[in-house]
Amino acid sequence: MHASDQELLALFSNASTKEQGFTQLVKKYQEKIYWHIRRMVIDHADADDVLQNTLIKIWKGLEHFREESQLFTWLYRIASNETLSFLAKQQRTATQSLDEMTESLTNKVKADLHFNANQLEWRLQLAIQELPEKQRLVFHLRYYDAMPYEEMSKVLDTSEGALKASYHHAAKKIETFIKNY
Amino acid sequence: MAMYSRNPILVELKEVAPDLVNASAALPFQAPLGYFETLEPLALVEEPVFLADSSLPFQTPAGYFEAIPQALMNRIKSQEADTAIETLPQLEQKSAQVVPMRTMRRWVMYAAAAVLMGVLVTGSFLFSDKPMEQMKEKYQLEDMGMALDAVPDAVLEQYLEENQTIAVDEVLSSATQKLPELSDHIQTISNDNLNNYLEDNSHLESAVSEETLN
Repeated sequence: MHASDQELLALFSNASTKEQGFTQLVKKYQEKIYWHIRRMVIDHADADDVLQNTLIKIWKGLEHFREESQLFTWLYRIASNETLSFLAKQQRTATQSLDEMTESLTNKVKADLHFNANQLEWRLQLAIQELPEKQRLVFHLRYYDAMPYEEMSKVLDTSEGALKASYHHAAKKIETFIKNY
Repeated sequence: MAMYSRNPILVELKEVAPDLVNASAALPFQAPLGYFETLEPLALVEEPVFLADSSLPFQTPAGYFEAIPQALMNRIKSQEADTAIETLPQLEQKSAQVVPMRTMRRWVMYAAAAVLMGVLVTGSFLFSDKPMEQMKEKYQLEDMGMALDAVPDAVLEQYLEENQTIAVDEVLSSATQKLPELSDHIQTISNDNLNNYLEDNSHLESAVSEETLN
């Protein structure tokens, strides 16, 4: 059983228990943050890199957390930004176009040991890679995490209306892709 | 993994993309068995283990998540230690004699400023009429006679030979000619003009007065 967010923040704010509080926070949220990242970058090694960077940023920034939003929302926001930065950097480093980036992620999905094109879940993953990065993020948060638009707007710093439109477009595109695959 | 109710999502999908309603909301990815439990990420090199009871298709190496907290703290402490070490050399260098670059740069700045001032002054001097006029006024000889007295006779004679003018010729030629009577010229001049002249040259007044009376 994990400690509450308030308890974790209290532990972290105390110099003598700062490390203990952070360790407990990591144990509580690491999986959620990891899968949030992994859905976007596909590859485990990349997800591990982004997760490490995200957790370090959380360590450095947690004392400035103003509790204007839920802790999880704040953590997700950092993870989302780190993920998008990672993907942008990967694209720049490889001097890839958007299409090449999409193909790269699609290949990573297909390269998974357990990939099975006959299963709807895998075809769904292939369809998702066809979306632009931010739209992919929106779809993941809504479809897999069932996150309310109000909460999502705090994570992605985007209006609820824009997020709703983005998600609807994404769902339509994915449906069309799966039908034609 | 969802923290929220899925019902609103299903209702929304029925309207937007009905075919997706039947798709599982679970990721096909798998996380390796024990990934989140081990303390060290050594299991990264191990073969991922398929989790039969998970619907996520992606996998993570065994013990991955267990290793994260400790590995992360080790990394953070290492970074903070590196930051502390970087500050140490500055303390050690305090005792060493170091010629600050700033002093040299300050002299260079002063020299550059002086050169710039010189350029500006010279430029204003050269391209401004005022200084020239002021120079002319300053060096304008008020007393030509005194200036000529300072010039050696040989230089004067040489100058006159090289720069013979009509006036010089007239002077030389008139040396043998009789000069016209001064009284004739004075009578053609009006009294007002004469008085003005006398005011300007008061030392001639006595001579003119004698002529006038005569």
